[in-house]
Formats: sequence, C-alpha cells, structure tokens
Amino acid sequence: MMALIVALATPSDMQVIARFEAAIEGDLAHDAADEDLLAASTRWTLGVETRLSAATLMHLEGALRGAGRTPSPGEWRGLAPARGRAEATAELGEAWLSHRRGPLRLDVGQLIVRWGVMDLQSPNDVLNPMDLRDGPPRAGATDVPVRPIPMLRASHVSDDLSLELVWQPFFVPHWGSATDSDWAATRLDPSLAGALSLTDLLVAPSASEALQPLLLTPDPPEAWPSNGSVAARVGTSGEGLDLHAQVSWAWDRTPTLRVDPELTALLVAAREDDLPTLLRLYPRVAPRLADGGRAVEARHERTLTAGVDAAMAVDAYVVKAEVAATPGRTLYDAALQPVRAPALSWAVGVDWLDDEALSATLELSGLTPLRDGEYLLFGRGWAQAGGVAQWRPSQVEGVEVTLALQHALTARAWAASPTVAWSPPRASADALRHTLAAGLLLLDGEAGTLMGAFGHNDAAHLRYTLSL
Amino acid sequence: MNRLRLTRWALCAAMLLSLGAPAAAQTPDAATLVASATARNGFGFDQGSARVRLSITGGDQAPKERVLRARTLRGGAGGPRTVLRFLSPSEVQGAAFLLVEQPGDAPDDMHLYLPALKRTRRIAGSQKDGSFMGTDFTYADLEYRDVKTAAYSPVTEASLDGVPCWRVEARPTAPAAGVSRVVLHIRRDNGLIQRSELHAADDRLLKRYTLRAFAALEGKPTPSEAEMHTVETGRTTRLTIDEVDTRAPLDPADFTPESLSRG
Repeated sequence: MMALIVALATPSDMQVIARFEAAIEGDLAHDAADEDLLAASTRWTLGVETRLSAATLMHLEGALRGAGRTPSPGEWRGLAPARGRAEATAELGEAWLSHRRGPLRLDVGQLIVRWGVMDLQSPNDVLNPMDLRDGPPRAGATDVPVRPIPMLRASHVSDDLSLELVWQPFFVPHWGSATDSDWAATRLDPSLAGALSLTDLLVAPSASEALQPLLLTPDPPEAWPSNGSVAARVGTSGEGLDLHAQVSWAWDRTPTLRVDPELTALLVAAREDDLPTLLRLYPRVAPRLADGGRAVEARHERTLTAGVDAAMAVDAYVVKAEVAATPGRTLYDAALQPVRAPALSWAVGVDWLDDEALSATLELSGLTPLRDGEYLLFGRGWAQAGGVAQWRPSQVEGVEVTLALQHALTARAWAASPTVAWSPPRASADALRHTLAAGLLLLDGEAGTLMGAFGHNDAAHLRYTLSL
Repeated sequence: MNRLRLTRWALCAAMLLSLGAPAAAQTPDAATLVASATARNGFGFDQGSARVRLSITGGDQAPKERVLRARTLRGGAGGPRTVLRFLSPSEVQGAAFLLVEQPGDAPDDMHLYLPALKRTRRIAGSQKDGSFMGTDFTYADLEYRDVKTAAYSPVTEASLDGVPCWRVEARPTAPAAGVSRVVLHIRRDNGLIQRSELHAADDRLLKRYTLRAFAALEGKPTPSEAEMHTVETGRTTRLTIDEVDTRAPLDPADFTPESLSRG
C-alpha cells in the first residue's frame, strides 16, 4: 500500500509522518489499594499525506502501541494477587480521502473533526470520542486525546460563509477502561471498584484488555445506517471575528447504566471482605446470571444539541466564548441512578501570544444542569478555571516549559501538569529530532469530583520522542 | 487594487518619459516609488505559489531551517489572502497559516492550524508585529506595513555597493514594533528594494533587510534571495524563494480558516 502511495505521488506532494515515542510513568505515592506503580509505553506512528490528483488528497496514519503496567510487589487486587499486564495493539489513526470541486469539499474516512474554539473544555467539540485510556493529557503531549472515527463530511466554503455537514454511520464510544487501569471508570465509585477483582480473577490479562470496551459499552447502538449521527455547522469569519452555530442529533456517549442491585451489593461485599453477605448473595446472583440474566444494562440515548461559539481578536488577545444546550443529557444522581436532564455547557476564555516565546490560554468552563438535583461529578452545577502556559526561554535553546492547571470553582478540586521538554539543536531541518520531556501530573479533590476520584494517580513521567 | 495598478502604470510611464529627460525630472515621487516597490507580497509575487526556505543563523543559537509553501490570492472579498503551509522540520510540519489583509489600519485576520491540536485558532491581529514563525521577519515586514502607510522624505540618488539606487526615508504613521524610521534603498534598474534599515525612536538601527539575488519572473524582476539581520541578537534570517508559479490554479475555497486543516 505504502509503495503504491509513493508511486502515485510526486516527492514534493508527499509529507511523511514518522515518530517514535517511549514513556515511563511512576506513581508518586502508594496511597491507594490496587494501584499500578509503574507504567511504560511505546508508540510507533507512521503516516503519509499525499495528493493523488489536483483535487484529491489522501491521509493515512497508523500506530503500533505497546503498554505495560506493574503493581508494587505483594499488592493484592481485590481477591487476587495483583499482576503486571502488558499489551500490544495496532491502531488505525486518521485515514481519509478529501476531494474538492470548487467551493465543495467531501472528506470520507476515519477523521478527527474538532468544532468549537476552546482548547481545554469545548462544549461544541462533540464529534469525536475521547481517548481516556491513560487519563487526562499531560502538558506538552504530542497527540490530541481524541479518537478518529468513521465519518463523512461535506463542506461548502465561500468568502464569507462556511457550511459543514457531518454524518457518522456508527456509534463509537469514548476509549477507556472499565476496570483494568488506575484510570478505570469503576474508580469513580468505590463500591464498583470491587469489579476489579472479578475481571482479574475470571479472565487472562491479555483478554482483560479486550474486555474493557464491552464492560464500558455493553449495549452499543447497532451498526445500522438509521443509527447514524448527523451534525451541521455554519459559520462566518472576517474583520476580527469568527462566529459559528451548530446543531447535532447524536448519541450521548455517557450510557444510562443500570447495574443489578444485588450484584452491586456482592461487589461491595467482595471488596470489604464481608464473607456473610458474599455467601448470602452469591447463590442468588450467580444462577440468575448463568440463566442469561443481565448484570449490567446500558442504554445510549440520542440527543439534540445546539451550540454557538465565537472568537474575536481584541488587541493582543483573542477572546473566545462557547455554549451548547441540550434538552436531555445523561447524568447520574447521588444514588448512582441515571437521569436524563436538560443541561447547558459553557466556556469563555482568552488566548495570548507574545512573539513565539510565551503563549497562554485561560478558560472558564462549566456544566449547568437545568433541572434541580445533586449530580455525580457535577453537583448542582460545575464550574472550573483552567489554563495552559507555554514558555520557550531564549537563554536556553531548545527548551520548552509547559504548565497546565485546572481548578474547580464549585468544589475543592484541582489538577496540575508541569512539563519541561528539551530538543537538542539539529544540523538541518531534515535531520532527526530528539525530544526528552519530564513532568508531573498532580490531582486532588474532595469526594464526588473527578480529581478526587483519581487523586491517588499523582505521577512523574519521562518521555522520549524521535521524529523525522 | 486599481490604485496599485494605476500607480505602477504611473511609475512605468514616468520611467519611460524620464529617458533622456533632465536629471531633475527623473527623480520619482516618493509615494509612487514605494508603492511600486511594495506592491507585491513579501515573497515577491502578486498572486501564485512559491516554495520558501527560511534559514536562521548567527546569534547565540544553533542554525535553524524552515521550509514552507506560500500561496497568495488576490480578488474576492477582503484584501489579498496568503496561506503558508509548513513542510519541514517535523515540529512545524502540517501547520498552516492564513493571512487575510484588511484595508487601511484595520487589523488583518490571521488563523493558524495546529496539527498537534487538530484545531484552527484565530490569532490576534496585533501579533503581526511579532516574529514570523520564529524568524527575524515580522508579519508586518512581509507586508511592508511600516513603509506603506508612512510620511516620506524627498527621494535622493544614492549608490549602494556600486548599485545605483533611489534613497527615501519613511516614517510610519502608526509606528509598531519600535520602528519609527525606515531608510529604503530602491534599485533604479528594476524597482526592487535593495536594502531597508529599520530604526528605533532613538535612531538606533534595529534590523537590516538586504536583497541578495533576484531573477526574472515572467519578465518581472523578482527577489529570489533576501535576508533580514537583527542587530541586537546578531541573528540573520535568509529567505530563499524558488518554484515560483504565478499561474498556479488557486481556489478561493482554499483561503479560508476551514480549509487550513486540509493540505
């Protein structure tokens, strides 16, 4: 395939993407049960972007990813001794064809399309699922944590108006882990964390990874054209202002999850070594599940979302605002029961760039449920301030310092990720680029917040990147 | 656009008429002279496509190089539109920059596509006084902003390294990036800027632009190599322009923020 691409393209038309990354991350403290203390990963990315004809552009990118995690010696995970896990996966990245005829453009394939104007929390960036396998992105990361998915995009662009239509034929959930990681969804609720013990007991490590998507999304919408999602965005740009409005009819990627209440009680009992309860519930739950009963029922709902966003240049700053409203969003109440409630997601922010040496982004964002209630992770409404600053000191060549911060305004919770990266000078632009980066990820927060739930995952990381 | 055409015609006519005329009548009007010398974009062409190599040397930093493809389109709504698409090195590969020039003192519209974020971001117009992609050129330099809207001294004759030139001083009406005076030497043989020196308010020399080579493009002399030297840092950026194609088919749809993510 690659040979065919090279043969079809002239050298000046082709851009090659080649990158190798190796990273190691160590937990700063052994402060929670079932923790992985050390995680290592490698990633080979190879891609090409080439013009097949004057009107057709092709992009093909893939990666080989290896990852391994190890708990501290003697650690137990639920009812079983914790064990190290390793996995290797081949992943298709962005892979698309883009054909243009005058002001019309058609993009088809596995795409990343990011709408909205915010960098940190964008209410209108709804098209691609997130890649949450390794938790939040570390400052200075080379990849955006979004998962490319199959879609078709048609766009019409004129001098003063742009129109985009997107069709996603399949539902694709967020990419994450249900039980098999320190960033697993079950860590959100301690009573569910006992599930860790079951998967570790019942399946081999190699199968556990494959099982995660099924655990996270046990009942995905069928892959059928009528189950596709559609979205449209219209915008105008000029004279210092970008203004866009959009609407989507798409699957809410948060499932309405209902766990068999006796199974939940069983998991809690397993976690708390409550043998009498275990012995009482097991004979009732096990036959029911063996007879085809469902332990977990998960439904996804389709929802209509409308949003607007704007970015405006004001002197040396770019001021941004974004809002999205939906009549039904899947939330969870304090008793872990799913609730569909109308909600408003919003964000305002400002970008500032001083030459190339210093740049900063500051954003204020939140989620406001439009129905009274106390919701898991969001309380009665969630607001947070976040920012990213990047500094390239002129005194030290090749050094880049990045600091990302997030601080909740409606609860006690925060996260910080400082990173220092260094790339030694190269003889020419064609020479290989080596980058070494070191950084921290720190989180803390009260119970019921995302930062609190994953607060024991404070870590230091070292990352090496080689790029062509 | 029409005014530019008129001024160029006026200049040509003035030059033709000046043949054999007395020396006093040969000296062109400063505004006309500068308008003609700056009519084309910083890469030397009105409309078309070119491959540009930027080599940064000197100062206390290791040499750097950036290669990009520049395309400029005139016509349509607003002013000229330029798209710069970075080809190498790897840390900027895939990045794309859109500049839509606005008439008068209105800030230009600028957007930058960052492949790492997969996002196109608006950039503040005032940032045109900042470095152009880490080089010694500013966005304003590439648009000749400091000399296009300025008060001019009378034009005098001068010789620069043996090259006959017109010398004119421009004082920007809206000084930016600390530049309060620009001394221009414009070649008498082809109307290209041979040297321009940018001075601070205290008359300190900030930067010096020097034309190193030019080539005929469709009969018009066009810069093929030029450099900008920053006195304070001792750094020099050499700009080499090749593969110029003024007949390249250009589609207005490619000169919009939405199209920056697609090469």
